[in-house]
Amino acid sequence: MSANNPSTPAAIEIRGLSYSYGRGEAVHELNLTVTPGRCYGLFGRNGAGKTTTMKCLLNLLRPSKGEVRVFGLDPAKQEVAVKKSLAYVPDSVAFYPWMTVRETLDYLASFRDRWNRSIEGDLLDRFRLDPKQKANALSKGQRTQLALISAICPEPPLLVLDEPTSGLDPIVRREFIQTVIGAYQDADPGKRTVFVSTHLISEFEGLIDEFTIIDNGRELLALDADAARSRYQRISARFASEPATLDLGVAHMVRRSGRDVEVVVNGNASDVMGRLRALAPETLTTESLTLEEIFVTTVQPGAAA
Amino acid sequence: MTAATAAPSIRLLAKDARALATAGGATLAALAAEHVLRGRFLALPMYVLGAAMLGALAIGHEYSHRTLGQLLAQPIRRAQVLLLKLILLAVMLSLIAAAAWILELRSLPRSGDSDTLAALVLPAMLALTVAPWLSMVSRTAMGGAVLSMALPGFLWTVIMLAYVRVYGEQPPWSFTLAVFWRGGLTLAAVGAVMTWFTFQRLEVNDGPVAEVRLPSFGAGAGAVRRGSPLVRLFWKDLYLQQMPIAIAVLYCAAWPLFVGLGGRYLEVFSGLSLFFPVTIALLSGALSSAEERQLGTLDAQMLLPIAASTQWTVKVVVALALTLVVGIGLPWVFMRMVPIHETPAPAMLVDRPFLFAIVGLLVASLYVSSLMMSGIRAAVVTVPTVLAFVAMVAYFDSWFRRNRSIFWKQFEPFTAGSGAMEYLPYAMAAGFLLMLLWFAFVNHRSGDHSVRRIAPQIASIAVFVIAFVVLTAVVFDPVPSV
Repeated sequence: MSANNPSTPAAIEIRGLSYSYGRGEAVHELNLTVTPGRCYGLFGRNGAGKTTTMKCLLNLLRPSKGEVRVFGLDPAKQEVAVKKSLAYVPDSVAFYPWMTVRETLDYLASFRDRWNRSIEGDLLDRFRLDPKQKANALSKGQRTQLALISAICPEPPLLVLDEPTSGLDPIVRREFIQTVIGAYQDADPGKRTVFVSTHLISEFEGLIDEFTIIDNGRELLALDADAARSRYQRISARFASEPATLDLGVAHMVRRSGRDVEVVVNGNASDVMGRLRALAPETLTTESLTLEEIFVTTVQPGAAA
Repeated sequence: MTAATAAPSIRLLAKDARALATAGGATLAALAAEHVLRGRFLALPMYVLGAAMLGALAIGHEYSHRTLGQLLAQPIRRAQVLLLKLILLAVMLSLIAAAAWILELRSLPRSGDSDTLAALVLPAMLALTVAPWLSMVSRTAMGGAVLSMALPGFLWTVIMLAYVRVYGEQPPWSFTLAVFWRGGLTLAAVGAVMTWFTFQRLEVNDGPVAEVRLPSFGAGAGAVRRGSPLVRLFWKDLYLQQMPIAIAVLYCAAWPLFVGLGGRYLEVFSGLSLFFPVTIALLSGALSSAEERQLGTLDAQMLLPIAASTQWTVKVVVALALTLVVGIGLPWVFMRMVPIHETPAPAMLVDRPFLFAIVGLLVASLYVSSLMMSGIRAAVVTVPTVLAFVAMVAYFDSWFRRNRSIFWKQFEPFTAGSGAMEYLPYAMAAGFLLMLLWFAFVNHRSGDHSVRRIAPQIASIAVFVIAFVVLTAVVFDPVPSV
């Protein structure tokens, strides 16, 4: 993990980004900063504005308002320099149907200054992709695998992944997330950045350093992952008999069943623990929420299991 | 670790050459087939169509293949990408222009050299400059092709009409040519600038305003929701047919303009009116099946709890209705409203062989569409396929009639000239078209388009053609009995 050095430009800097499709605003006044070397998650429900945000980063969409910088560069003005510094895996992967896997990789490699052939061979083996197979004969998952290979092989300083694991089988998904992305970042520690949007938050749990949750194009929460885990906690208490009254302040009541009480707290764990302790519970435990639970709690308060 | 070896420009050119190969090859094949058939009549329209398709596909194929995002995300300047695309397009256009010139256009009757030059150069120029721009604006290759063919004609008509309004008489031919040249050059210049700027600011936009689309048909979504599944299927299939409907709208808009011009221009319009049903039949067939694949909706459609055969029937009915009602009906009504005595257009439109040919073209394009991944590809492939098919049948028919004595020495005609047998070729052709429709249905609902699967269909078609030629030769042109 790299320190946030002011002399080093952020891998991604988004300030007041807005984008509208006709009358509907897909992204509204979004701000975020991704420090180099970090794995940054962009979480949101379907249609939250994640893909739009990513496309604005790549100059595939022109922001209606605000500004976007990648390593301090404006994607609209220094398009090639920005694209040299990143690789992108879209949510819907498509390749030219007449090309084979080999031809597709050669085609994409031709745009790059560097291309790691040994990683390419290794990933082709891992994903069991036949280089002679035509792109139009690949399944959705195999197309995603091919897109991931083509993103990893140029070894860019920034990987932009939009739902990168959709369509992958559990084995490949786990291998990609835990091994491939981990190896990609470890190969040049502190310099390789991953910016990922995903629904499968739990699978990226150990990888995410920071995240932003957006809904309806607006930022709901932006936190360091460790800070989020210490801030969002689930407190469970069991009492000798059903408590008559419970005043837990601003904590979200998740479950109350007879003698058992379960609440989720957001940064006020000690206060709530104190209140519960005052009621002399038989047991009182606390645990951090997972990122997925934090996401659900944030987007749909009261729904966290 | 190794660096990439081949230059991106070469890869880009090779990729785009492959993407345009079908349209370019199909146009060349269509021109060659037309030459073999000694047609000439269709050479110019096919060249114009081919040029427009190539121009629209230059950028439009990235929309069709959903690869625009991938292309624009590569670390290469957009200007370089566009330049390479246009260079390749210019080469392809030069190839088909040369073929059109050598095979057909140089022998066309004309009033001056500038006619032929205009016919050869203007379509290529507009395809190079206007079609890519319009395909980006409409976000479909088909939209780009149709609009790039319609826009120059529409502007030209408006200028002609303005002349009549100002001077109270028809413009002289020299003025028309001048408008053609200067207007075309101006449009090409505007198109070139717009192509450049549009590509530089091109967005990969999948949002709600993604494409230029016609408004919903009928009374809107509410009315559709209340309908039965068949009605919903009908509206859905009609919505797939936006391009032929857009052409019909342009045709309707052009009619009062041509009527206003009158005289020779009305004759030109009546000539165009014979191409109108051909275009409608070609496009409505081509879009029917392939466009579902293009949109990625075919599997979901096939899984609907309604028989696949019912869905297919609705599809065929919509395409057929569009062809007969709009393609034939509209020009016939227009011709009847303002009769043009010098041309046989109105009578030809409802002539039995012409009607049969139009329905045949529709069924052929439906069949090709059932094998293709996009409507524009189906439209491009249908024309040379049909021409090649006609050429082969004509060649076999001629060969058989010359050599039939090999097969039999004498034959006593049993029906020659009798009334009922007059309909035999139509009955057989109808049977052939039904067989093609069945094959198209089989292809439509199956994802397997391998040669192994298609080969029996081709064999069946060949057997049917042989039977047709032999039987019609026996019935209508029997060898005199010895």
